Amino acid sequence: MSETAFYLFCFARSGPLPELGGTGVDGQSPLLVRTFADLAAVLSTVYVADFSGPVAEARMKDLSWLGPRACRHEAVIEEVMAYGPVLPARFGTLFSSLESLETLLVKHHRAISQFLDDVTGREEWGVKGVLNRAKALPELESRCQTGGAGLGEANIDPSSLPRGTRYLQGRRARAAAEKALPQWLQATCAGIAEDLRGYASGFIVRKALAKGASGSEVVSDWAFLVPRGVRVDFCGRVKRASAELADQGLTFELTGPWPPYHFMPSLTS
Amino acid sequence: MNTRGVPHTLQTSSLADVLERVLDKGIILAGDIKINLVDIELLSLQIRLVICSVDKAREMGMDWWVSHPAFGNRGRAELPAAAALSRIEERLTQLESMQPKVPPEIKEVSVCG
Repeated sequence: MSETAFYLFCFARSGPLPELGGTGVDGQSPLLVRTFADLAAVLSTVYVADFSGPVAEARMKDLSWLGPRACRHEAVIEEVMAYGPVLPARFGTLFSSLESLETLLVKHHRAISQFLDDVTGREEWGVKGVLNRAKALPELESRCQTGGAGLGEANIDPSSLPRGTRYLQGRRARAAAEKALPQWLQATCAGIAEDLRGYASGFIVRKALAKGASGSEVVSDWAFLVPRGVRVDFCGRVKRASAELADQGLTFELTGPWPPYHFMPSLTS
Repeated sequence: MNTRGVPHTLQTSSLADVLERVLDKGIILAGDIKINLVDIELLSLQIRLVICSVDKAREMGMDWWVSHPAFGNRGRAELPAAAALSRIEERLTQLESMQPKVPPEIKEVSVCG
Protein backbone atom coordinates (compact mmCIF):
# COMPACT_ATOMS: atom_id res chain seq x y z
CA MET A 1 0.00 0.00 0.00
CA SER A 2 2.88 2.39 -0.59
CA GLU A 3 1.90 3.37 -4.11
CA THR A 4 2.72 7.02 -4.68
CA ALA A 5 1.22 9.69 -6.90
CA PHE A 6 1.83 13.32 -7.77
CA TYR A 7 -0.32 15.84 -5.96
CA LEU A 8 -0.88 18.95 -8.06
CA PHE A 9 -1.17 22.34 -6.35
CA CYS A 10 -1.19 24.66 -9.31
CA PHE A 11 0.15 25.62 -12.71
CA ALA A 12 2.21 28.75 -13.24
CA ARG A 13 4.54 30.28 -15.79
CA SER A 14 7.82 28.43 -15.77
CA GLY A 15 9.97 31.55 -15.75
CA PRO A 16 9.81 33.47 -12.50
CA LEU A 17 9.49 30.65 -9.97
CA PRO A 18 12.24 30.59 -7.35
CA GLU A 19 12.92 27.81 -4.87
CA LEU A 20 9.67 27.30 -2.95
CA GLY A 21 9.82 27.11 0.82
CA GLY A 22 6.59 25.25 1.55
CA THR A 23 5.85 21.56 1.95
CA GLY A 24 3.33 19.11 0.55
CA VAL A 25 -0.07 18.72 2.20
CA ASP A 26 1.36 16.25 4.71
CA GLY A 27 3.60 18.99 6.07
CA GLN A 28 6.75 17.02 5.29
CA SER A 29 7.32 16.07 1.69
CA PRO A 30 9.16 18.68 -0.35
CA LEU A 31 7.59 20.63 -3.18
CA LEU A 32 8.62 19.81 -6.71
CA VAL A 33 8.44 22.15 -9.65
CA ARG A 34 8.30 20.43 -13.04
CA THR A 35 8.42 22.54 -16.13
CA PHE A 36 6.71 21.61 -19.37
CA ALA A 37 7.66 24.09 -22.06
CA ASP A 38 6.57 27.52 -20.78
CA LEU A 39 4.39 26.13 -17.99
CA ALA A 40 5.33 24.89 -14.55
CA ALA A 41 3.44 22.48 -12.32
CA VAL A 42 3.91 22.69 -8.56
CA LEU A 43 3.70 19.20 -7.12
CA SER A 44 4.55 16.95 -4.24
CA THR A 45 4.49 13.18 -3.91
CA VAL A 46 1.79 11.56 -1.80
CA TYR A 47 0.63 8.07 -0.95
CA VAL A 48 -2.43 7.16 -3.02
CA ALA A 49 -3.85 5.36 0.02
CA ASP A 50 -4.03 8.68 1.88
CA PHE A 51 -6.58 9.97 -0.63
CA SER A 52 -8.25 7.06 -2.33
CA GLY A 53 -10.22 4.13 -0.95
CA PRO A 54 -12.90 3.77 1.72
CA VAL A 55 -10.61 4.49 4.68
CA ALA A 56 -9.25 7.65 3.09
CA GLU A 57 -12.71 8.85 2.09
CA ALA A 58 -14.03 8.40 5.61
CA ARG A 59 -11.06 10.29 6.98
CA MET A 60 -11.64 13.17 4.63
CA LYS A 61 -14.69 14.10 6.67
CA ASP A 62 -12.48 14.44 9.70
CA LEU A 63 -11.69 18.07 10.17
CA SER A 64 -8.55 17.43 12.14
CA TRP A 65 -7.16 15.55 9.14
CA LEU A 66 -8.58 17.74 6.41
CA GLY A 67 -8.16 21.18 7.99
CA PRO A 68 -4.38 21.43 8.14
CA ARG A 69 -4.03 19.79 4.73
CA ALA A 70 -6.46 22.20 3.10
CA CYS A 71 -4.58 25.11 4.66
CA ARG A 72 -1.25 23.78 3.36
CA HIS A 73 -2.77 23.38 -0.09
CA GLU A 74 -3.87 27.00 0.01
CA ALA A 75 -0.56 28.20 1.45
CA VAL A 76 1.48 26.64 -1.34
CA ILE A 77 -0.69 28.26 -3.99
CA GLU A 78 -0.50 31.61 -2.21
CA GLU A 79 3.26 31.32 -2.12
CA VAL A 80 3.41 30.68 -5.86
CA MET A 81 0.87 33.43 -6.50
CA ALA A 82 3.27 35.96 -5.02
CA TYR A 83 5.55 35.41 -8.02
CA GLY A 84 3.05 35.48 -10.85
CA PRO A 85 -0.30 34.23 -12.12
CA VAL A 86 -1.47 30.77 -11.06
CA LEU A 87 -4.08 28.28 -12.10
CA PRO A 88 -5.02 26.66 -8.78
CA ALA A 89 -6.02 23.00 -8.56
CA ARG A 90 -8.63 21.84 -6.11
CA PHE A 91 -7.67 19.81 -3.09
CA GLY A 92 -6.74 16.23 -3.94
CA THR A 93 -5.88 16.50 -7.62
CA LEU A 94 -3.70 13.44 -8.11
CA PHE A 95 -1.76 12.18 -11.10
CA SER A 96 -0.41 8.67 -11.29
CA SER A 97 2.67 9.79 -13.22
CA LEU A 98 4.38 12.82 -14.67
CA GLU A 99 3.49 11.48 -18.10
CA SER A 100 -0.25 11.64 -17.39
CA LEU A 101 0.17 15.17 -16.09
CA GLU A 102 2.06 16.10 -19.21
CA THR A 103 -0.71 14.65 -21.34
CA LEU A 104 -3.18 16.99 -19.65
CA LEU A 105 -0.85 19.93 -20.05
CA VAL A 106 -0.28 19.30 -23.72
CA LYS A 107 -3.97 18.81 -24.35
CA HIS A 108 -5.01 21.99 -22.53
CA HIS A 109 -1.94 24.11 -23.09
CA ARG A 110 -3.85 26.87 -24.81
CA ALA A 111 -6.57 27.11 -22.19
CA ILE A 112 -4.07 27.12 -19.33
CA SER A 113 -1.86 29.67 -20.99
CA GLN A 114 -4.79 31.91 -21.85
CA PHE A 115 -6.06 31.67 -18.28
CA LEU A 116 -2.66 32.65 -16.85
CA ASP A 117 -2.67 35.67 -19.17
CA ASP A 118 -6.20 36.58 -18.12
CA VAL A 119 -5.45 36.52 -14.40
CA THR A 120 -2.11 38.29 -14.55
CA GLY A 121 -2.22 41.18 -12.10
CA ARG A 122 -5.63 40.07 -10.84
CA GLU A 123 -6.77 38.34 -7.69
CA GLU A 124 -9.97 36.81 -6.42
CA TRP A 125 -11.90 38.40 -3.56
CA GLY A 126 -14.79 36.82 -1.73
CA VAL A 127 -17.70 38.91 -0.49
CA LYS A 128 -20.41 37.41 1.66
CA GLY A 129 -23.60 39.16 2.67
CA VAL A 130 -24.53 38.26 6.22
CA LEU A 131 -28.00 38.96 7.56
CA ASN A 132 -28.82 39.42 11.19
CA ARG A 133 -32.54 38.74 11.12
CA ALA A 134 -33.08 39.86 14.70
CA LYS A 135 -31.72 43.26 13.77
CA ALA A 136 -33.18 43.53 10.27
CA LEU A 137 -36.80 42.70 11.11
CA PRO A 138 -37.53 45.39 13.74
CA GLU A 139 -35.97 47.92 11.40
CA LEU A 140 -38.22 46.86 8.52
CA GLU A 141 -41.14 46.59 10.89
CA SER A 142 -40.90 50.22 11.86
CA ARG A 143 -40.77 51.15 8.20
CA CYS A 144 -43.86 48.98 7.52
CA GLN A 145 -45.68 50.55 10.43
CA THR A 146 -45.06 54.12 9.37
CA GLY A 147 -45.71 53.12 5.78
CA GLY A 148 -49.36 52.18 6.30
CA ALA A 149 -51.12 51.24 9.48
CA GLY A 150 -54.34 50.80 7.51
CA LEU A 151 -57.97 50.97 8.67
CA GLY A 152 -57.78 54.70 9.24
CA GLU A 153 -55.50 54.27 12.25
CA ALA A 154 -52.53 56.01 10.74
CA ASN A 155 -52.75 59.14 12.81
CA ILE A 156 -53.63 57.52 16.10
CA ASP A 157 -50.98 57.31 18.77
CA PRO A 158 -50.49 53.54 19.23
CA SER A 159 -50.18 53.88 23.00
CA SER A 160 -53.74 55.22 23.18
CA LEU A 161 -55.13 52.05 21.58
CA PRO A 162 -56.45 49.12 23.61
CA ARG A 163 -53.82 46.46 24.33
CA GLY A 164 -55.45 43.91 22.07
CA THR A 165 -55.50 46.26 19.10
CA ARG A 166 -51.91 47.24 19.75
CA TYR A 167 -50.92 43.62 19.85
CA LEU A 168 -52.66 42.86 16.59
CA GLN A 169 -51.08 45.87 14.98
CA GLY A 170 -47.69 44.70 16.12
CA ARG A 171 -48.34 41.25 14.68
CA ARG A 172 -49.44 42.78 11.40
CA ALA A 173 -46.30 44.91 11.19
CA ARG A 174 -44.14 41.88 11.94
CA ALA A 175 -45.86 39.85 9.22
CA ALA A 176 -45.44 42.70 6.73
CA ALA A 177 -41.74 42.98 7.62
CA GLU A 178 -41.19 39.27 7.17
CA LYS A 179 -42.85 39.47 3.79
CA ALA A 180 -40.83 42.50 2.76
CA LEU A 181 -37.48 41.16 3.93
CA PRO A 182 -36.57 38.89 0.97
CA GLN A 183 -37.43 41.61 -1.50
CA TRP A 184 -35.43 44.23 0.38
CA LEU A 185 -32.49 41.85 0.64
CA GLN A 186 -32.58 40.98 -3.00
CA ALA A 187 -32.75 44.58 -4.15
CA THR A 188 -30.07 45.77 -1.73
CA CYS A 189 -27.65 42.95 -2.53
CA ALA A 190 -28.20 43.33 -6.26
CA GLY A 191 -27.33 47.02 -6.00
CA ILE A 192 -24.11 46.33 -4.09
CA ALA A 193 -23.11 43.54 -6.47
CA GLU A 194 -23.67 45.81 -9.44
CA ASP A 195 -21.51 48.46 -7.84
CA LEU A 196 -18.69 46.04 -7.07
CA ARG A 197 -18.79 44.59 -10.55
CA GLY A 198 -17.69 47.98 -11.77
CA TYR A 199 -14.27 47.31 -10.22
CA ALA A 200 -13.96 43.68 -11.29
CA SER A 201 -13.13 41.88 -14.50
CA GLY A 202 -14.95 38.75 -13.37
CA PHE A 203 -17.94 38.05 -11.15
CA ILE A 204 -19.45 34.80 -9.96
CA VAL A 205 -22.40 34.15 -7.70
CA ARG A 206 -21.73 31.23 -5.42
CA LYS A 207 -24.52 29.36 -3.78
CA ALA A 208 -24.91 30.81 -0.31
CA LEU A 209 -24.43 27.70 1.70
CA ALA A 210 -25.13 27.83 5.32
CA LYS A 211 -25.80 29.69 8.46
CA GLY A 212 -23.03 31.88 9.72
CA ALA A 213 -22.22 32.41 13.35
CA SER A 214 -25.20 32.15 15.69
CA GLY A 215 -28.06 34.48 14.85
CA SER A 216 -26.77 35.38 11.41
CA GLU A 217 -27.16 33.82 8.01
CA VAL A 218 -25.24 34.08 4.78
CA VAL A 219 -27.60 35.56 2.19
CA SER A 220 -25.22 36.18 -0.68
CA ASP A 221 -21.86 34.77 -1.62
CA TRP A 222 -19.89 36.36 -4.43
CA ALA A 223 -16.45 35.96 -5.97
CA PHE A 224 -14.87 38.85 -7.87
CA LEU A 225 -11.77 38.88 -10.03
CA VAL A 226 -10.20 42.21 -9.19
CA PRO A 227 -7.22 43.93 -10.84
CA ARG A 228 -4.59 44.56 -8.18
CA GLY A 229 -4.57 48.26 -9.04
CA VAL A 230 -8.14 48.77 -7.81
CA ARG A 231 -7.86 46.47 -4.82
CA VAL A 232 -7.96 49.34 -2.33
CA ASP A 233 -11.02 50.92 -3.95
CA PHE A 234 -12.81 47.59 -4.17
CA CYS A 235 -12.15 46.68 -0.55
CA GLY A 236 -13.08 50.20 0.53
CA ARG A 237 -16.41 49.95 -1.29
CA VAL A 238 -17.23 46.64 0.42
CA LYS A 239 -16.39 48.05 3.84
CA ARG A 240 -18.43 51.16 3.19
CA ALA A 241 -21.47 49.12 2.11
CA SER A 242 -21.10 47.00 5.19
CA ALA A 243 -20.89 49.99 7.51
CA GLU A 244 -23.85 51.70 5.87
CA LEU A 245 -26.13 48.70 6.16
CA ALA A 246 -25.00 47.38 9.53
CA ASP A 247 -27.81 49.23 11.33
CA GLN A 248 -30.29 47.45 9.11
CA GLY A 249 -28.88 44.05 9.97
CA LEU A 250 -26.89 43.43 6.79
CA THR A 251 -23.09 43.30 6.70
CA PHE A 252 -20.58 42.25 4.05
CA GLU A 253 -17.57 40.10 4.84
CA LEU A 254 -14.54 40.38 2.65
CA THR A 255 -11.92 37.64 2.21
CA GLY A 256 -8.90 37.53 0.00
CA PRO A 257 -6.83 37.93 -2.00
CA TRP A 258 -7.45 34.35 -3.10
CA PRO A 259 -5.98 32.46 -6.02
CA PRO A 260 -8.53 32.71 -8.85
CA TYR A 261 -10.34 29.49 -7.91
CA HIS A 262 -13.69 30.55 -9.30
CA PHE A 263 -12.55 31.75 -12.67
CA MET A 264 -10.83 28.67 -13.98
CA PRO A 265 -11.51 27.07 -17.33
CA SER A 266 -12.78 23.54 -17.42
CA LEU A 267 -9.99 21.09 -18.18
CA THR A 268 -11.95 17.89 -18.00
CA SER A 269 -12.84 17.05 -21.56
CA MET B 1 13.91 36.83 0.90
CA ASN B 2 10.46 35.46 0.41
CA THR B 3 8.57 38.19 2.17
CA ARG B 4 6.03 38.42 -0.62
CA GLY B 5 4.88 34.89 0.14
CA VAL B 6 3.22 35.77 3.44
CA PRO B 7 -0.14 33.96 3.40
CA HIS B 8 -2.28 36.95 4.28
CA THR B 9 -5.47 35.31 3.14
CA LEU B 10 -4.89 32.33 5.36
CA GLN B 11 -4.27 34.54 8.31
CA THR B 12 -7.44 36.54 7.90
CA SER B 13 -9.93 33.95 6.66
CA SER B 14 -11.74 31.25 8.52
CA LEU B 15 -10.97 27.63 7.89
CA ALA B 16 -14.48 27.31 6.48
CA ASP B 17 -13.59 29.89 3.83
CA VAL B 18 -10.43 28.03 2.93
CA LEU B 19 -12.24 24.70 2.70
CA GLU B 20 -15.05 26.15 0.64
CA ARG B 21 -12.58 27.33 -1.94
CA VAL B 22 -10.14 24.48 -1.88
CA LEU B 23 -12.84 21.79 -2.03
CA ASP B 24 -15.37 23.60 -4.17
CA LYS B 25 -17.00 21.41 -6.73
CA GLY B 26 -16.97 24.26 -9.21
CA ILE B 27 -13.23 23.87 -9.61
CA ILE B 28 -12.72 21.54 -12.46
CA LEU B 29 -9.32 20.12 -13.06
CA ALA B 30 -9.14 16.40 -13.21
CA GLY B 31 -6.27 14.29 -12.11
CA ASP B 32 -6.19 10.75 -13.41
CA ILE B 33 -6.72 9.31 -9.94
CA LYS B 34 -10.28 9.83 -8.82
CA ILE B 35 -10.90 10.74 -5.24
CA ASN B 36 -14.23 11.28 -3.54
CA LEU B 37 -14.43 14.60 -1.83
CA VAL B 38 -17.10 14.99 0.79
CA ASP B 39 -20.11 17.07 0.01
CA ILE B 40 -19.10 20.63 0.67
CA GLU B 41 -22.54 21.65 1.91
CA LEU B 42 -22.56 19.12 4.69
CA LEU B 43 -18.99 19.79 5.47
CA SER B 44 -19.48 23.50 5.51
CA LEU B 45 -22.37 23.28 7.94
CA GLN B 46 -20.29 21.14 10.19
CA ILE B 47 -17.35 23.46 10.02
CA ARG B 48 -19.28 26.59 10.68
CA LEU B 49 -20.53 25.13 13.89
CA VAL B 50 -17.08 24.24 15.04
CA ILE B 51 -14.73 26.85 13.70
CA CYS B 52 -15.36 30.49 13.11
CA SER B 53 -11.93 31.97 12.78
CA VAL B 54 -8.30 31.30 12.25
CA ASP B 55 -7.81 31.99 15.94
CA LYS B 56 -9.91 28.93 16.66
CA ALA B 57 -7.91 26.96 14.12
CA ARG B 58 -4.78 28.04 15.94
CA GLU B 59 -6.23 26.78 19.17
CA MET B 60 -6.82 23.50 17.40
CA GLY B 61 -3.15 23.21 16.59
CA MET B 62 -3.50 24.34 12.98
CA ASP B 63 -0.96 27.08 13.41
CA TRP B 64 1.70 25.38 11.37
CA TRP B 65 2.29 28.41 9.20
CA VAL B 66 3.47 30.45 12.17
CA SER B 67 6.52 28.25 12.47
CA HIS B 68 6.94 27.73 8.75
CA PRO B 69 10.28 29.09 7.55
CA ALA B 70 8.71 30.58 4.42
CA PHE B 71 5.93 32.38 6.25
CA GLY B 72 7.48 33.96 9.29
CA ASN B 73 10.47 34.18 11.48
CA ARG B 74 8.79 33.37 14.75
CA GLY B 75 10.07 29.81 14.79
CA ARG B 76 8.36 27.59 17.28
CA ALA B 77 9.02 24.09 18.50
CA GLU B 78 6.67 21.60 16.85
CA LEU B 79 4.19 19.90 19.10
CA PRO B 80 4.38 16.14 19.02
CA ALA B 81 1.62 14.98 16.66
CA ALA B 82 -0.13 12.88 19.27
CA ALA B 83 -0.34 15.71 21.76
CA ALA B 84 -1.65 18.04 19.07
CA LEU B 85 -4.30 15.54 18.09
CA SER B 86 -5.52 15.01 21.62
CA ARG B 87 -5.76 18.78 22.00
CA ILE B 88 -7.86 18.91 18.84
CA GLU B 89 -10.14 16.17 20.09
CA GLU B 90 -10.50 17.80 23.46
CA ARG B 91 -11.37 21.09 21.83
CA LEU B 92 -13.89 19.45 19.50
CA THR B 93 -15.65 17.71 22.37
CA GLN B 94 -15.77 20.98 24.21
CA LEU B 95 -17.21 22.81 21.21
CA GLU B 96 -19.71 20.08 20.49
CA SER B 97 -20.97 20.18 24.04
CA MET B 98 -21.47 23.93 23.71
CA GLN B 99 -23.30 23.76 20.42
CA PRO B 100 -26.83 22.48 21.28
CA LYS B 101 -27.57 25.39 23.62
CA VAL B 102 -30.45 27.38 22.14
CA PRO B 103 -29.82 31.11 22.13
CA PRO B 104 -32.53 32.91 24.15
CA GLU B 105 -34.01 34.79 21.19
CA ILE B 106 -34.96 31.55 19.40
CA LYS B 107 -37.14 30.44 22.32
CA GLU B 108 -40.09 32.31 20.92
CA VAL B 109 -41.19 29.50 18.63
CA SER B 110 -44.37 29.60 16.59
CA VAL B 111 -47.12 27.45 18.04
CA CYS B 112 -48.88 26.41 14.88
CA GLY B 113 -48.55 22.72 14.01
